[in-house]
Amino acid sequence: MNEGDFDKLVHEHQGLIWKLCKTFFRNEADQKDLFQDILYKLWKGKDSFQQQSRVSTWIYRVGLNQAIDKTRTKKKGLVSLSEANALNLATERARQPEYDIEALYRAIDQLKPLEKALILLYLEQETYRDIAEVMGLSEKNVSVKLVRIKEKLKGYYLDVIKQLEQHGT
Amino acid sequence: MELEQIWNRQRVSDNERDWISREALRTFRKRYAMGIMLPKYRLLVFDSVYKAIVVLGYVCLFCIGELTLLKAGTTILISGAMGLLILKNFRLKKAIQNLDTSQDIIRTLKEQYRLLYRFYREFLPIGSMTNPFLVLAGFQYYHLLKYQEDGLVLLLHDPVIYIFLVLAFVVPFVVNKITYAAELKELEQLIDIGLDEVSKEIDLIRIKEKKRARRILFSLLVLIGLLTLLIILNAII
Repeated sequence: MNEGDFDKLVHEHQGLIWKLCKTFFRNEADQKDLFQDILYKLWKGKDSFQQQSRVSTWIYRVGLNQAIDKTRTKKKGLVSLSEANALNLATERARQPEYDIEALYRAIDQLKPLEKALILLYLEQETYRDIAEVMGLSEKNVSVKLVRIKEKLKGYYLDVIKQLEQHGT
Repeated sequence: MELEQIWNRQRVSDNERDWISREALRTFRKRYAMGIMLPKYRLLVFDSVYKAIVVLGYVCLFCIGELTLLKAGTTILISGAMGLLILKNFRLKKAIQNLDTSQDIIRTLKEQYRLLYRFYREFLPIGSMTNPFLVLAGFQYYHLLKYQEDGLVLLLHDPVIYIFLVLAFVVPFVVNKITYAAELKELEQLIDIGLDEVSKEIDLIRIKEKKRARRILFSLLVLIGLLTLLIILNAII
């Protein structure tokens, strides 16, 4: 893969990489940082890409490994919705889709790193087989884990919405 | 509303948005290409340089003043040992460099765990071992400046020196052991997603690596014990 092919490939899949970054970090600087890290790792490992697997599978593997690695160096406590954050979100309420998505990202942020990886792949409508391939788990385990994570995420999402209501929006 | 529906609405807006130009992507890649270095990798490079400086210190001591058999023996022994440890560092550095992050997530995490254990097992004694040699060289330079001779024979017959040498090894060893143990624990928690198949494999790695670490530490203690015995016997005779 030459430079041109690589740039084209990344350009085509950058939406996927950005979503991955947003799933793992809420801070814009950290998202950009992770984006660059993933890009570097993809560039470095471009020769390891085997044509028999899908490009998105390769990008997910490299990207998620890098994201999980980065969460280890960027430790953070439990996410709490501060008043400033709530107000920020409240101003977005006028634009309903952005508001819902931001609330969903905040809910995802409360999951553990591997749970984030699983839910991202699920929400991106990857098949259980592909999720299993990216994660290195059996399809059965993927489905069992996803049932639990989805329940957890719904709870977190409702909490975020409830907290917003309490902040007088 | 379903979470999937919320997420899918974003998919549309993502596609509509041109995230970043290809030109900017190219700049990102080039600018960042040299920037990434794992902390462990840095530590290994730093430790290798540190060891090389200690060797240089002994070579300088060797060149200054009267040449004795003990002095020549010490310099060769320490330089040889440091050379071997630097080689070990390079092997470990290579293993870190070769870590394949395009594998599946669980396998990569297990590899990282195994590598961290290896680092814990190998680098812990390797890293701490340099300090006693530095302390000994420090004492010799002090003697050289004050009495115009390195005083190696005198130092080796002074039991207080051994207390300093042991402390120079033990203190960083214990401090680093605590740090690495915390890192391992953290990684274990990260991997633990409540799946038996993953937990069992991690347990196996842990048991295997603990056995190896114990073996290395035991050999090291035997070696130190033998050396101490030799020195004591030499002092008595």
